[in-house]
Amino acid sequence: MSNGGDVPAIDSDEWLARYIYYSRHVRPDGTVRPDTFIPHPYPDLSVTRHLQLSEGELWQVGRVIARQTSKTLHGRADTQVFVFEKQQLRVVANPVLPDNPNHANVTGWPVDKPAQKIIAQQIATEASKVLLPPEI
Amino acid sequence: MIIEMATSAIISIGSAPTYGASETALFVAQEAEKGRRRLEDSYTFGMAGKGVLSELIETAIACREPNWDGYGAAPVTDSTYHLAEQFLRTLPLGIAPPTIGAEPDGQLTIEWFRSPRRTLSVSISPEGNLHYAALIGAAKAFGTEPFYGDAPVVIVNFIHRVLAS
Repeated sequence: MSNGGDVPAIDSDEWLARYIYYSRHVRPDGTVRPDTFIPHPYPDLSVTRHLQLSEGELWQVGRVIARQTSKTLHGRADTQVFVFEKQQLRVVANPVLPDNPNHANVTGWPVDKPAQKIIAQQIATEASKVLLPPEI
Repeated sequence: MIIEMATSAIISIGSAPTYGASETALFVAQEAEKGRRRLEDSYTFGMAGKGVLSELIETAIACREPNWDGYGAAPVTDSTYHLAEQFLRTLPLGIAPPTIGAEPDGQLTIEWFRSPRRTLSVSISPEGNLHYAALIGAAKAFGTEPFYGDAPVVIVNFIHRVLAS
């Protein structure tokens, strides 16, 4: 897992994970609904940078959050940073120690709800299909 | 008194019409409403028959407590649920069924999804606003319509455009 003391700069090509803890944020065809990308509590959207994490470590981060919030981890949608940047949003490193040094916030969202929706919709079209957590 | 009303006449009523004040007018209105409710319960025409209203209830219940999404989501309130139900009931009969979801700010979402580039999402706010966003090919549209008990024409038109072949 990356070291929280030395936060690497955000690169446009790097991958981000958005963990999904509500089953209806996944469509029956496995794509992600834009609902999951609406920033709340406004103005930030919480994501996790892949950086050098292995698949196992990435899922472990999601599972830790699930345990802390008493939720079920339904999957994760992966998106590259440039997808957010195309929408005039910024990704800012925001390590949460000790559990998630790779935590980041997507900021710069408009206040207007329909403007948030159209951005979330476009991000969802470019996000990966929802990846399911491997069985332990 | 026997009053017959063709199914097509009932289907064409997209939302509550304005009624006359006479006893006969009231009777006709009540019968039309009964007919509409029966069609709503049918699989072919109605949201209830297609299971959309059940999906709405399930979603509202699942999201009634704060933090339902693990990120600190606001709860979906009863008033939001009732507005969403009302909105679904005012859609023209026979329209393709949407799917139901919720956003972290506590708004219920009604989505018509044909493909990633043919999709419409409508959020129901507790204040009775309908926030919508649509992707139709390379075109995009978004905005807000107040909900006064009738499905706004602009949203109905987007539903047709998203579902058009």
